[in-house]
Amino acid sequence: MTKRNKAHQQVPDEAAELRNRLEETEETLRAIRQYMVDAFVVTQANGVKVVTLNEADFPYRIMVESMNEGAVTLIPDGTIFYCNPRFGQMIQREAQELVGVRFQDLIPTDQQDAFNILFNQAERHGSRGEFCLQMAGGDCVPVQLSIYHIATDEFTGISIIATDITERMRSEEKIRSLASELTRAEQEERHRISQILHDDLQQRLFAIKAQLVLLRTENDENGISPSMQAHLNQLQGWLSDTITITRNLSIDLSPIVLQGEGLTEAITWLSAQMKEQYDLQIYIDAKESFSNLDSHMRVLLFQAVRELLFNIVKHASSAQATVTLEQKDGLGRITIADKGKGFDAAAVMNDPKTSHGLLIIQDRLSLMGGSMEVTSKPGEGTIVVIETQLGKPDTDLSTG
Amino acid sequence: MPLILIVEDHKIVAEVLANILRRSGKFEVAGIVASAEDALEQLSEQNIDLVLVDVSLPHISGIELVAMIHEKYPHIPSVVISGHNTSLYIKRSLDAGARGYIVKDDIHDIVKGIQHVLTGGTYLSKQLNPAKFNK
Repeated sequence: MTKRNKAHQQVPDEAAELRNRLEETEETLRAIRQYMVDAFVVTQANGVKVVTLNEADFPYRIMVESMNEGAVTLIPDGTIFYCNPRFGQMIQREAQELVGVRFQDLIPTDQQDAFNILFNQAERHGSRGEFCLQMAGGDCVPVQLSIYHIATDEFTGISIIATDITERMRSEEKIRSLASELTRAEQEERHRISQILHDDLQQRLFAIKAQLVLLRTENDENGISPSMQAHLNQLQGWLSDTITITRNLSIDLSPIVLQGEGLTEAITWLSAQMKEQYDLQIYIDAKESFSNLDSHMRVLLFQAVRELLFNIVKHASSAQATVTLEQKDGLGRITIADKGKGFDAAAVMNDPKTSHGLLIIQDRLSLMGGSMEVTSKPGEGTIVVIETQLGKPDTDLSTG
Repeated sequence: MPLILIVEDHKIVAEVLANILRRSGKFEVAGIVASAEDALEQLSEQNIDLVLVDVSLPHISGIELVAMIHEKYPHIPSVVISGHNTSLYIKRSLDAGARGYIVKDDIHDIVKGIQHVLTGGTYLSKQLNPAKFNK
C-alpha cells in the first residue's frame, strides 16, 4: 500500500474518533449541567488527580434549581450562560436551549432601551425594574428583574433574578378597579344628596322667602309696626343665609361643572369659586387639556386639587396660588404651588395626625394608579405634584 | 294684559311664582306646566307673550327648552329662573337665547324683570354681574 493510500485510509478513522470524542464531551457536559457529576478523574503528567465539584455549593445549587424565581447568569456581553428551570418555565422554554441566547432578545423591542439603561446601571450598584419577557408562544409574562454585577476571581458577569409579577399586577388592577368603583359610588351618593338639596330643600326655601317678601310688601302698603318689620327683615335675612348655605353645600357635594366638563374647565370654575369665597387668586397654566381622563379619575383629581387649595387657604397665609396642568413623559401632571409660609414636609407627611387630609388624597391617588409628592420647607412655600396615567375617556358620571 | 306661561316642576315654587305674577296685577298667568314637552304644547295652543322657564326640568332641560322656543317662536321671549347663580348656567342660558336670568333668591324682582324683558330689554338678577355675561 502506498503512503498516499495509507493516508486516505487514516482520515475516516480519525474523523470517526473525533466524532466519538465530541459525543463523549457533550455527554459529559450534559451530565455536569444536570448535576449528575460529583467528581472528575484527571490524568496529569505527575499522575492521576481526582477533582471534586465543590460540595459546599450543593445546598445553593439545590436552592437555585428549585426556587420559584427565575435565576439567570449572563456573560458580560449579555449572553445567557446559565438559567434555572423556573426561568425556562416562565417563558415556556427549556432552560438548556436558552444558554447562548442574548437576554436582551427576550425583552420586547419597545422596552429594550429601558432595559439597557437598567443593565448598565447594574454595573455600579445593582438595579431593579419591571419588564415583559417574551414567551415561546408570543405572549408576554410581566416580571420584575433584579440585576446584579458579579465580579470574582473566577467569573465576571451579570446575575439576574426574575420574579413573575402576573398575580401582583392582577391584584393591583383589582385594587384600582375597586378604588374606581368606590369613587364612583361616593360620587353618585354625593350627587344624590346634592340633588335633594337643590331640587327640593332649596326650592322650598326659595318659595318660603318669596311668599314672605310678598306678604311683607302687601302689609307694608297697609302699614305694619316697626317691630314687626324688624322681625320680618330678620326672618328674610336668615332665609337668605340658609339658601346660601344649602346652595354652597349642594355645589361642594357635586360641582355642576364636573358633569360633562373637562378637568381644565372644572379647575377654572373652581378658581373662580375660591376667589369669590376665600379671596384666593389662582393662576392657571393649562398646557394640557386632560381631556383623556376617565370620569372617576377626573372627579378624584378635581377633589384633590380642591383639597390642596383649601389647605392653602387654611394654612399657607398666601393669597395666591398657581395650578399647572401639563403632560410629561406620557403622564398627566398637575402642580399646585404657593409662596406661603410652607412647612416641614417630611415631618408632616410622617405624622398621620397632621397630614390626615394629604394622606387620604395620596392613598386614593395611589389606589387609582396615580401619585402625589409634597415638597415644602418653612418659609419657602409649598409645591405639590400629582401624576396620573392619561387613559381613555369613558362615559360621564352625570345622571342628568 | 301680557300672558305668561310658567314652566316649573316644583309645585310649591310654581304656586308662589303664579301668586306673585297674579298679585302684581300686571300679568295674566296662561298656565303652569312641569315639563318642556307640556310647555311646547301650550305654546302651540295659546298666544303666549313670555315664558318663565325653570332651568332644571325633567327630560328636556330648561336651557334646551329656551333654545327650542328661541328657534321656533323667536318673537316670544324666555326668562330663566334658577337656583344656580354660577356663571356656567347663566352663560348657557343667554347663549340659548334667554332674555333674562333671575336667581330664585331674587324672586321678588321677577315682576320688574319680566316688565323689562317685555319692553325689549335683557334682565339679570341684581346679584349677578352683567359685565361677566355680555356677549
